Amino acid sequence: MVKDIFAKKTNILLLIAPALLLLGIFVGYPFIKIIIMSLQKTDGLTPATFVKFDQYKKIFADSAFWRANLASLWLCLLAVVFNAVLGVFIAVVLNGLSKKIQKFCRTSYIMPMVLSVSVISQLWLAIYHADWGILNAFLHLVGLDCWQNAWLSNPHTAMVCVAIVGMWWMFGMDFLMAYSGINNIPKQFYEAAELDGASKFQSAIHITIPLLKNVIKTCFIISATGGFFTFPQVYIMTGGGPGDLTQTIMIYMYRQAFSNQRYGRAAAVALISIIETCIILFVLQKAFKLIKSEE
Amino acid sequence: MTYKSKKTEWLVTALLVIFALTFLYPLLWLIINSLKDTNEIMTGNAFGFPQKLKFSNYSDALIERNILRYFLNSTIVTSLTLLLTTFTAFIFSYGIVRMHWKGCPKLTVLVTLGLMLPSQIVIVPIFLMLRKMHLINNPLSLVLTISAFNLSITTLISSSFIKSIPREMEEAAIMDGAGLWTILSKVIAPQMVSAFSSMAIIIFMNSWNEFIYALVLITGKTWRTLPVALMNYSSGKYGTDYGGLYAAMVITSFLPVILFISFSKEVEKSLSAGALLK
Repeated sequence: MVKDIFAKKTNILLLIAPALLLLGIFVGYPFIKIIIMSLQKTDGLTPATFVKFDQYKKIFADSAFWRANLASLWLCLLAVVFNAVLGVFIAVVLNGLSKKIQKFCRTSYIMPMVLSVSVISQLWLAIYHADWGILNAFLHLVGLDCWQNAWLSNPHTAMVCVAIVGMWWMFGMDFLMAYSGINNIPKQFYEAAELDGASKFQSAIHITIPLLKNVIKTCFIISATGGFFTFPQVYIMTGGGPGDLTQTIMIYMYRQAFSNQRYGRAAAVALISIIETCIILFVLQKAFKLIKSEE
Repeated sequence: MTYKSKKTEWLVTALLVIFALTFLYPLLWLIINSLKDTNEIMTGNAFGFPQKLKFSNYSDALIERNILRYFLNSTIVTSLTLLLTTFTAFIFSYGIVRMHWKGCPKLTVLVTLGLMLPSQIVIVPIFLMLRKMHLINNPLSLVLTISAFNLSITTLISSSFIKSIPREMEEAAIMDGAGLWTILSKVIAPQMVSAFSSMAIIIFMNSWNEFIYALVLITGKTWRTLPVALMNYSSGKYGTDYGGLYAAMVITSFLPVILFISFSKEVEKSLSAGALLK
């Protein structure tokens, strides 16, 4: 009788059908659809025509695509360095401080992450504003008027400024992962090290970092993909400008689809970016394996 | 683990607190400036307090610029997504963990793969599909899409929790003549409170803050949600009103912030679990 209920076909179907339908329609089908669409020319209204690899050829011949790619890879690198590496570092350093300071810093670092990227972007538009932005006002306050700038329309600063917004928004994620990872390390390890006369710095290098390796890897992966797929901040703040300087690969895809109605081309861009992400993840995996063998 | 010398400890504390202020100050600035007149924002002291508190920024935003309407829209979309995702993930994970059927392990792997896909990748086919179904500008399209993308992570949370529940209670209930739905609602669900709350936090954050799909799937004003409304705040006949915009941003943000401050432990736990989703 017990077995009956758990093996009855209609029961099983009722339980899993809603989820499978949702996943199938909104994740599985669209994913297969982008593979098919990338080989087609379609404006979404008239019937699609099969064009083989034409879309890919056109994308690879477009210099804007390569610039967008470069911008995305650059954001990916910055996110890894300043979110993953800095996040782990800050988490390690913060761990030695008093509980009150820890709580205050932790809450502050994580706060931006619970806000919508839309709020974050509008806030940073106010910070970067050329005439009355906080950043320029701050530079005036400390007497660095010569550094004042139209941050988002100056081609020299636009990219870095956009990158900072994403890093500020998502810093809490890497920090939080590392911080909870550290708190899962048994205290005895440190006590033993202290008895052996290890300094704070030594125990961080020889105990914390090796034990955190998997957490650090996750941080790298999250930051790398997050940086590579940067979209909403750029869309709201610069729209890809000045020119197409801050155009990331996702902005490029969005414009192909929703400004030019080239849905086939957009699908091809999506597929290319998935392959690129796989390569990035593969390289990260290899790099972390390498570190292991050295130890 | 503590710092050996007091001096280094003070130095590290000072640096980390200053670093924390770069996260906190812009948010404080936002609240202060949401009470300033737009003229004062543009010409006055950027770091100062308002000369006169202008609460009308909030009423202007809520009434004149329809933020109240968009707030309701966001609430409707988020509540429906919460209900649909939590329920679907709950019964799905029960089906995966407890039921005996072929192909179950393979399917679980596929579900986990769903975690790795950044949602915006498939925006083009989803948009075309929903347009064909005439669901553009229908809040249902947003609810279904966000639910689907949150299903993998919530199913994982729910199924790992169900695994930890001993089978004896279910078996006893069956002996007493309970059917599957009685087991789910009377035996399992009451034990899942903590799992449901971390699932709900993830779904709430992702759905309340959703921007990209809201931008593409809701093009008209009627069902616009808060994040997209902020982007369009300055357009239209009234022109740029920064004071009102900042008030609207505070209105958009207060729910997630209050949730985070009052349940920081749970939110932190959910956020780090949800990290895999982004």
